[in-house]
Amino acid sequence: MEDVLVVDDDGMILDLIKHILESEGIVAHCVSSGAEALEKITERTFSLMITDYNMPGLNGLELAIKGLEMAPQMPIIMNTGDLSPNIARLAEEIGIAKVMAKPYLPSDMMESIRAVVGKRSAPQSARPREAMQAARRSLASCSRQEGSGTGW
Amino acid sequence: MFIGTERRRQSLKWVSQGQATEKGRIYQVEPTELRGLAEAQLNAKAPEEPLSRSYHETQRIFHELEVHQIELEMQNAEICLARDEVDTALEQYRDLYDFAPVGYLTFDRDGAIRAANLTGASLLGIDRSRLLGRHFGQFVDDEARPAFIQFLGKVFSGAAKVGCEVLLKREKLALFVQIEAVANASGQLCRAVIIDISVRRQLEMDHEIQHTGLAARAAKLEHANHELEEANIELEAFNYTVSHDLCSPLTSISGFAQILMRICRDQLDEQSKGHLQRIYASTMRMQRLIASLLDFSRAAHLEIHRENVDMSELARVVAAELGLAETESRVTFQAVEGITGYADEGLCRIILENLIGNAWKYAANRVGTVIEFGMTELGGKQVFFVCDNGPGFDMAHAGKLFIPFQRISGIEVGGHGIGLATVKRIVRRHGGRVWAESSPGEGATFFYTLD
Repeated sequence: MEDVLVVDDDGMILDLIKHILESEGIVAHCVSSGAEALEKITERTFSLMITDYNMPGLNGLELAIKGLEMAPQMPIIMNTGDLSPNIARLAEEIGIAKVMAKPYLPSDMMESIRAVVGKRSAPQSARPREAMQAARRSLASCSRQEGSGTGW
Repeated sequence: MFIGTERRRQSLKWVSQGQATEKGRIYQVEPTELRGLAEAQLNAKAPEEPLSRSYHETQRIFHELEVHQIELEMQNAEICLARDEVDTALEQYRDLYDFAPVGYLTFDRDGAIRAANLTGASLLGIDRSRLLGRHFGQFVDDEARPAFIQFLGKVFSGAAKVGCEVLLKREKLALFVQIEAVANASGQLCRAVIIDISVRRQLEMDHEIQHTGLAARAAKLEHANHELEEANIELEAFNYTVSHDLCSPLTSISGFAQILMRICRDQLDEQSKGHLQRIYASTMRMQRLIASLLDFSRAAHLEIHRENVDMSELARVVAAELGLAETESRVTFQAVEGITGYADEGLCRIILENLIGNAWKYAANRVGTVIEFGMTELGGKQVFFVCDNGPGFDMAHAGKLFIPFQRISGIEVGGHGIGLATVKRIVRRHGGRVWAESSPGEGATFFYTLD
């Protein structure tokens, strides 16, 4: 497996995921914001991006949209403390491979990583542009309704 | 004028007592005095030349005079009778005037009192004999005087009836009166009716005070409600934020505990492993609490998406997740087939997770426990229910059941005290209601509608 990009504004979570990945021999590139993550994506390719949902600046869904525009083949796992049906629906529309509710165990995380990366090894077509645009509109509307983007 | 026989006789009799008229005025005098007066008038006339008349002529004139005298006496009697009737009417009018329940006053153009009945004088708090000639304005409260002067001007400026309400100054108790007045034909006087409206005004003022008080109380209540709503919103936001923000540290604690267990398993003694296991178990318990709190928050804010839901299937899925479908389970779960409803599936799942989960929690250690999901009808509405044959509870505590963090014996064993409150929120968001029926030792049934 190639290197994994990990995005979370909580340093403890970054440490935890880094530890989980490295114990499996996977290199983790940890950043604490969506902007930093996008910079990394422009520099190189990653076999997976694991991101938090609720972050200052870009949230996980917004980062996923931009990230998939730059790297359509990169699977994404998003973690959230509030897995509401609305967020789950938006994540699916955007093309996020897996949404995990916090708190999760290291074993659950590894299981999800294997499942997502394993699925990706099969031929996967990029999401149609129309679908991405629709998801973008949904997210914009959702953000307007929910103010800071921290949705119920 | 028609006069009846009896009355005519009476009047004639009365006439015999002696009366005299002069220019329409009637004098009541003794007959001898009357004669004297008549003779005096006759003597005052210029003496006429004596006429030589025949006997017959004299007889005729004498007859004519006698007839004329009788005619005059009859006319006089009728006049007296009319005056008698006028006197009676006047007396009656005077009584009605004086003892009327309202005050009657006559003002001139300056507002001076020219006539008053007893009630009018009584309203002004002064003897009638001292009232005539005084200005009514003297009795009117200083503040109301301009209004009274304006009112008087209006009365004398037209023929229409004009009204006003003023406060009267009196020695003991001030009075509110209503005055209605109309000018007479000459335009020099007006007649006024004065009514005491103090009681009415007092009632109006009481009503106004009451109304103002009510309005103030309503405003206060509205303000309190607004503050309560804001406090609730803040509490909800707090609940959500705390629950949400606890997830990350909890992930770290449980994650590192698991990693520690894995990588140090061989170096740790049994006691240390036990401690790690407790840390892990505690994080799991905390996770369930946070999940409950988030459900509680979501139940208040999530948009309801109604769809046709197979409630029987949903109940079976929830029961299976709780392990009730497993063969070694001590609890039997039954769901009546074919129950459907039009509701939000995600929220209905939370209802069933709580109700079935609750029944399971305290029945888990009892053999032969049966939990059932079913539906009945009440007033043409679908009523879903989850019942069990567990220990039940005392209905005296039923009021506390759906209040957050209130626990009663036998309910929410091992729970967080928020499950039934969440159920109530979801049911209310659907426009329905939820209630429970139970008695100790005879199981419990939780009913709910989703309108």
